[in-house]
Amino acid sequence: MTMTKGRSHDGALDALLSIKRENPCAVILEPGGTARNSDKGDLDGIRTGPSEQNAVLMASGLALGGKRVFIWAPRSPLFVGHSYEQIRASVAIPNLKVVILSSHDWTALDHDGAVRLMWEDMALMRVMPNMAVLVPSDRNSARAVTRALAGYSGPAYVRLSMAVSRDIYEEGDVNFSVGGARLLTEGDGVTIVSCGIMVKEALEAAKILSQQGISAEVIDCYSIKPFPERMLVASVRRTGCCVVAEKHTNVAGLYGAVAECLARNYTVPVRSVAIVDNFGQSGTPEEIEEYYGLTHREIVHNVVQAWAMRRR
Amino acid sequence: MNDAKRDALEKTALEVRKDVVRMSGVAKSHGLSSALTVVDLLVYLYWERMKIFPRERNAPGRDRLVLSSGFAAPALYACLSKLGFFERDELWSYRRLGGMLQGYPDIRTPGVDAPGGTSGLGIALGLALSLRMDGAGGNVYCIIDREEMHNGAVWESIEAAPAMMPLNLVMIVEYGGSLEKNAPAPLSKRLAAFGWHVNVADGHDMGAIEMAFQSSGGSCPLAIIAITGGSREYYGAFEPRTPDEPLSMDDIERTLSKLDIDANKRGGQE
Repeated sequence: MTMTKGRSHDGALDALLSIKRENPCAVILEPGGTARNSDKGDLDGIRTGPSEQNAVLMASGLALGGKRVFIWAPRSPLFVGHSYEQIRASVAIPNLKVVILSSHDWTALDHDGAVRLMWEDMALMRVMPNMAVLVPSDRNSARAVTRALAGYSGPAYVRLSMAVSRDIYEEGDVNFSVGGARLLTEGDGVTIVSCGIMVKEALEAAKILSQQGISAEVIDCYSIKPFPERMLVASVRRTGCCVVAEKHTNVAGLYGAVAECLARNYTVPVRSVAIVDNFGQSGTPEEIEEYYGLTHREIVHNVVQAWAMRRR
Repeated sequence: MNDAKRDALEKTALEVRKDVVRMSGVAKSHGLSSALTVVDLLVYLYWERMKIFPRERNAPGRDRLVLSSGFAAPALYACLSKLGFFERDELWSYRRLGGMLQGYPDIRTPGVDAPGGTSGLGIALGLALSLRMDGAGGNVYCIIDREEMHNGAVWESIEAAPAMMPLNLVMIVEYGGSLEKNAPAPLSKRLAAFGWHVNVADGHDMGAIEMAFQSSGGSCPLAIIAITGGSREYYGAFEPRTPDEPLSMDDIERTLSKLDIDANKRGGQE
């Protein structure tokens, strides 16, 4: 494991710059105010102004014209909420090649509280037919996932983070695909499924659990939809119980996807580490994650409970 | 526009209108809405103005039509079948389960350039920019119903467009239900304030429609407000009395004969 650090936001930005260089059909839309909103590099996308619904509609038109469109919406945690109807009718129903990248959390907006902390975004996008949902865990996977989406056949939503975190993957690791997942540690005591910034917490939890004699399989489920069913089912067949960790409400996000999959295929106890069906409040991102229990300690606690109820 | 051309377009419009009434009847629609009143605009665009290739649907540089007012879909379908994009028989399974013609335009239908039923001006703007990038020519025409002007997303696009100078984009607002010449003045002022060049025309007069396309405003995108009458008042269409009641076969028959009588009257006067 390397000790380099970065933000998934920057990994995706890197990928967009190279996609733009290599693919003449790629178009990047940059909704937002007048201030430059790309943190580094010059994306030189089309400035669509602050209105987000118009940005989605324009993306639809560009895609109908044969372009592969990326909407770069950093610091827009509400993007998919603002423009839900437009995403649905003009992008998802006609199944167009439009990728929405939203740097969702650890922005300054976190301090604004409930209205800006829209942590039901994965659910909103996951319930929309045709829409892929990807939540990479570090900058290297964000880069690879974004590049994979440049070859994808339909619409996708990518939730990124502005949090600086330790790299989980090596730079240049390209083993990511839409519908894929990565098995980070192997074990036979519990399956811990997580995505985004909770993957590093899951790895931390696995270390503590191994000292307590429970060997954990940690899955980075960066593709919430399409969902990597086979890897998950194979894993819980070995472990017999599961804990899901996500920075999202416990409704219809990763926990929902895992529970639906396991109910269909192989039932085991599944515990959730998430925000329990609630809106947020003002605070620093660290305080908020602590307050709502989005920590490795909370994962360990839930693993112990799930393990006690495990199948077999 | 000379008289022969006008006659030919009006004749086409009558045939399209009758198909609209027939398909709405077969589909047991709950009214004709603007499907009847938008026909003259569509016929002018498709038969006179737009560069289209029904046999080579993906021809680069072709013009595109975005019918934002999805509820007017029957008029679009009747035009497309008449142009040869698909068989006329498809019209009779409009809105039926398993049929090709969806209630609102769907891009899987041959000849449909954009999804309908969501504020289409932004889609038209994106499409216009895409065609400009390709450099192969091609204009985009977007028809929006007056009622859609209550939708905030439309105004986002109205505000965003002028700065991007989409000179290959024309927005046509179907200003329905009123034949008063001054009725759209407030809308006209608002569009001008947002940086659009606005022309107002009688949406049932082929010559006036053509004129409206001919004067443009330099670097400002062109908006045409086309004034049209309500389908009941203007065409004497027999509409159901409540929104839940489907058109009856009787309504259809009476509307079809009324269309014919009116057309004969017009022909007789000339």
